[in-house]
Amino acid sequence: MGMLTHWSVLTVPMVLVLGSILAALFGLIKNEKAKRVLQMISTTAAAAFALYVNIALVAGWKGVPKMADLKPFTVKLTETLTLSWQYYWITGTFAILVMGVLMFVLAYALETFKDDENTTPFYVLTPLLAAAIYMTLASVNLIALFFSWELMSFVAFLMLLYYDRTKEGGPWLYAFWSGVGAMSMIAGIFLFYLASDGKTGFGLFELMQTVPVLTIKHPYMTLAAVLLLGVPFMIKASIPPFHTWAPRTYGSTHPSVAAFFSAAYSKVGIFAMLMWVYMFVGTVMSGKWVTTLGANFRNMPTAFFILAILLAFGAVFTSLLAFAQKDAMYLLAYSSMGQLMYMVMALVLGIGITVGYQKDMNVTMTVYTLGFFGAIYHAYAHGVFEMAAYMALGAAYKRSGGETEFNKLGAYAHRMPVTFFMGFLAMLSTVSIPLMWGFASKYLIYQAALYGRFFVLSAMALIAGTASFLYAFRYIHGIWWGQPTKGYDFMHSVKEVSAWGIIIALVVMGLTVLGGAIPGQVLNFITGNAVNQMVMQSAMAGGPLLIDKAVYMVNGFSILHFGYLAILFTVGILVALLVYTTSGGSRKVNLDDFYNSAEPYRPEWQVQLIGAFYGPIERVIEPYFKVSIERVYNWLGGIFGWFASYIESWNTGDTRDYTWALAGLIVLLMVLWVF
Amino acid sequence: MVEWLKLVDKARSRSIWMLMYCTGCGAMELPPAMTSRFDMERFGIMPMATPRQADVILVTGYVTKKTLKRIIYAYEQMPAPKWVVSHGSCPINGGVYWDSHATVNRLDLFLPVDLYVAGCMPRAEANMKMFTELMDMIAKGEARGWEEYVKNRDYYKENQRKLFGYDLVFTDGRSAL
Amino acid sequence: MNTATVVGTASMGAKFLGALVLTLKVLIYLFLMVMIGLFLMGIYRKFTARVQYRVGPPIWQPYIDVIKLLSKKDAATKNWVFDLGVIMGLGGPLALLLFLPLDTIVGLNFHTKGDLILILYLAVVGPLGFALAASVGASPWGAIGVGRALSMMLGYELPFILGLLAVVAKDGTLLLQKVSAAQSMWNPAGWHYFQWPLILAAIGAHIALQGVMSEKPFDQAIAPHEIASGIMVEFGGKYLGMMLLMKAASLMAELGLFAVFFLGGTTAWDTIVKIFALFIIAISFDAVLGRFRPDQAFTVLWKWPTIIALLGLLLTVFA
Repeated sequence: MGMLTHWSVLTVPMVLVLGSILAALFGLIKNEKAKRVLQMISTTAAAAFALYVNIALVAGWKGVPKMADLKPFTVKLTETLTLSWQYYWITGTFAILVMGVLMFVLAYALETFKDDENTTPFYVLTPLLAAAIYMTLASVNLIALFFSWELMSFVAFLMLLYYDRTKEGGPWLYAFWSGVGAMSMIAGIFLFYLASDGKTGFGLFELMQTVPVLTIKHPYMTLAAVLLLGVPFMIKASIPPFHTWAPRTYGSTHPSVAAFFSAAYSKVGIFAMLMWVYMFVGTVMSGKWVTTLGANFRNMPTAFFILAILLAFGAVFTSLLAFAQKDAMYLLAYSSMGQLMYMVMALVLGIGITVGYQKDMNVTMTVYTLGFFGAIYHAYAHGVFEMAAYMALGAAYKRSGGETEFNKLGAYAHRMPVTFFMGFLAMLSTVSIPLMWGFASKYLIYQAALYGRFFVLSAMALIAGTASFLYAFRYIHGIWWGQPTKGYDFMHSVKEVSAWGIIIALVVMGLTVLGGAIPGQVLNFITGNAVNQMVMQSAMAGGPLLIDKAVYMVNGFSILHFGYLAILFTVGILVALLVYTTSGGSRKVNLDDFYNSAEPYRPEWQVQLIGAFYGPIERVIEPYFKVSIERVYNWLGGIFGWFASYIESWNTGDTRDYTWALAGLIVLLMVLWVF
Repeated sequence: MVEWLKLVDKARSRSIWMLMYCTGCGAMELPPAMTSRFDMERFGIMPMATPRQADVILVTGYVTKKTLKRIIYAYEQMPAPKWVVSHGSCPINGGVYWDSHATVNRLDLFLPVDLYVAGCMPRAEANMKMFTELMDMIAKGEARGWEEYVKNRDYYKENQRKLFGYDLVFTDGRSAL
Repeated sequence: MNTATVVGTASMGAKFLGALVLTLKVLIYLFLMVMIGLFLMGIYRKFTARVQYRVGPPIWQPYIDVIKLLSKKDAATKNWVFDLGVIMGLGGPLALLLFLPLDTIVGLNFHTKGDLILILYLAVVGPLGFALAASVGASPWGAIGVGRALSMMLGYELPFILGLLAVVAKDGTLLLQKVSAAQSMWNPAGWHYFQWPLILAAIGAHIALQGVMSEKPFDQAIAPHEIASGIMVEFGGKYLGMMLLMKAASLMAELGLFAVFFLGGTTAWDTIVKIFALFIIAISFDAVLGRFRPDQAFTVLWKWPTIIALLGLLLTVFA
């Protein structure tokens, strides 16, 4: 056991890097199939190890050190500044999700990469990205966070750049916004430095505590620092108005890459927002801001309320946009954005109410627990179902020869039923059908919003949920059912995924249901018993909250017994099955035997309805999307571009302009010098 | 079991959903039978939108070679037990179009017709009489054309082939996914 | 030791008996509810016929139709997922019925194990199952029907939810039995429907209820004259029969939820009476109105009932 003493926070990233190096070496193999399998084995093994370590750390299993005994990694830069990475329970909670998604995505990539696509960059870069994410999750220092963050963004950019499927500029949009985020973060850090009169060591937890003090001294500077620091986090979590990069970036890449990005990478944004919201609380509830930004509005600081409304609106709008998409990748990207906004909204509600509502401590603690853990649980649910949806799409993508548009897909479920079921369960989870993970997590968020008496917000969240039915159905119908768009001969050549893919699909399907059947246990497990502790604290204070093994309850307000739900749901299905089996017979007919005004269908006809699936309401909502934030950015960009080319024209155009400009500059300098 | 079957036959006779294959003018007198003057819904008789939901197909008018294909297709899409009514003179013997090169004079060579309603065109009273007759036949278990079609499939298919010059196969198995 | 064994078996036997009785109760309850739902549909057909100056079918016509449909011999199916979708489509509403306070009619109290959010999300399992089956059916008409049905759902959910949330805001609970307890059973002045400002929310939700039940003018999804009955286009025989049963169960669930939230539905019997009253109102409108275009219906639903219900909610919250 002497080995164990050498375990540090770097162990997991190093193993991932090792897997990545092995994958790079295997990339030299000429035999394509052997190359892919070896790459998959090496990286998946590294990911599995990482997953095991994180689960063991969070659950306190034997064989790995305790979380607190894990050596931090520190780099001493100056007397006051030490970069440090340290493992704590939030790290673990998010790392389990990231590593789990990493493992499944890497393992399933055998089924999603077409034969003519190079897998080496994917297998090399994805573990590297996961390692960078891990370091970000473990940074306890703002400068350390910055370095990890930028490493992460850069690796992600490389991946996007290599797998730029549609050539619509997705990676460059991502690079631009990452750049904006990096500059904003630097500026925030610098302002913190100024606000603390150069005394801060940039420790994250230290900053969270000192922000109120700094605010009293330098209100504007600290607020600006916190806001600027929040920009990159909001960009990563694709929160409006910093969300415009997400659809094109997710939509234009390879399904497997998008699966990892949307299911795991975006969760870093949630993690960072979680930190940031605390810092934001510190600012708005201190000094000058208490009476303005921090003024209580409906049990929350005004700034928080505005943020929550913004997020709820964003969730509704992205969900409305999602069902109007004609490309499955874009549809899932918008859906992902909507779900992320849900999570951040839950965080904002939960943390906002702790400072806004002081009348009853129990209510505060209940809403806080529901919102905070609802967000984390929904991050998990989203991770699993978005990954499954993208993976299933990826399998169809490979078999259709690289199609992701709905009007070029269709009827694939007839040939690949297991893969369809993975996508189907993912969508059931997305729309939060009871007993799916998505329901167990969204239920917590609704409880938080309703128990905190945020009714309009809840209504908007519920409507976003309803809109998710529309896009979920479009995904199900467009890819998996209806008529084949490439003809029956082509469809006969389509094959189900290999046994390996089927095993992964079955495990993922199991996960989708597991988190919804015994939510209390799963939530407790992934948060290292933190939920139990919160609930126990609440119970000791006579609080109303209960998140048990299989019961959600806010006493006198809401209740949900998952055991009863499972049994009664089964009873309903069994009774339906009884009616089905006791009634008359049925016969199987061919796919092209359908009612077509008695006209026999001819295979050369294109009758798969998908182009204007929700045409009527798309026409209704279209005018309201005339004003989009992206258009504003484009307009601003246009002005800058015009200004830049105007300046450029001085230098490259007419010589007289150039002379005059130079003369003007000299005059200006002289004037400045004189005064 | 026999009682149960009788009950089922009774239920079938009181709930006839029809698919109206309105090939000609014969359907003209069906709306009066449907609306408040005669109100066929009294007997549970309703028009349906698709063959999948229908129990009886009314061929109301002359049958050409071209429409016959569609009629057979619609008939084969219906779930058994199902019935065919040859409605008006034209599907019975060709009516006024008996010597046209494109008209099929006898529907019952190609589909098992359960009931004929003569007339050019049959009035609403005749329609109601037809429906009550059909109801009686179904309740007594006498209308078994759908079994005939299965039993004598070779005969019907042979007639169809003679008429069209090729086997009438709507799905050749290629589209079975 | 002997006694212990005997006691053990006795308690086992008692447990088994208890489970058997419980199962029977559940089955009887579901049977009863579906039968009442079918009876409502019989009323609908008779009522519509009388409005159209016809005699109309006997009031038990839906039972005959269901027996006939379920006894069909070879209904067409495309794939086993088609069958699965239909089973899910009937199973969902049946499970939903078990979470409504109507279950006190046979002495069950499963409705205390769930709340409004569960009911709202359980209510979509049925439509989703049938939508899946329609999608597997592969008829373009079916796809149009599903598209329209889901569009309508987006339309009516907003005012409906706003209306229900106003009641949640007033009573401070999501539990159905508490919402019932906050109202009087028979005195209309004690119903949420007739209390200011909840009456606004109730009116908004009531207009939306017409869409929830897909009665005119919001029956775009199953428009037989336009799109060959939309979702149902590929459903024949037992599949259509199960869809009728699902429709019956959903009617009871939807109207029951509204009766509990706005009309003081407390016990099963008074709720059933109120369901009948609500249904008569709904079909009166259905009998005389035409059908909106899908985009018109969506616009209407997101405009007037939403504004009214939102006003009710805001007035309740800020009161």
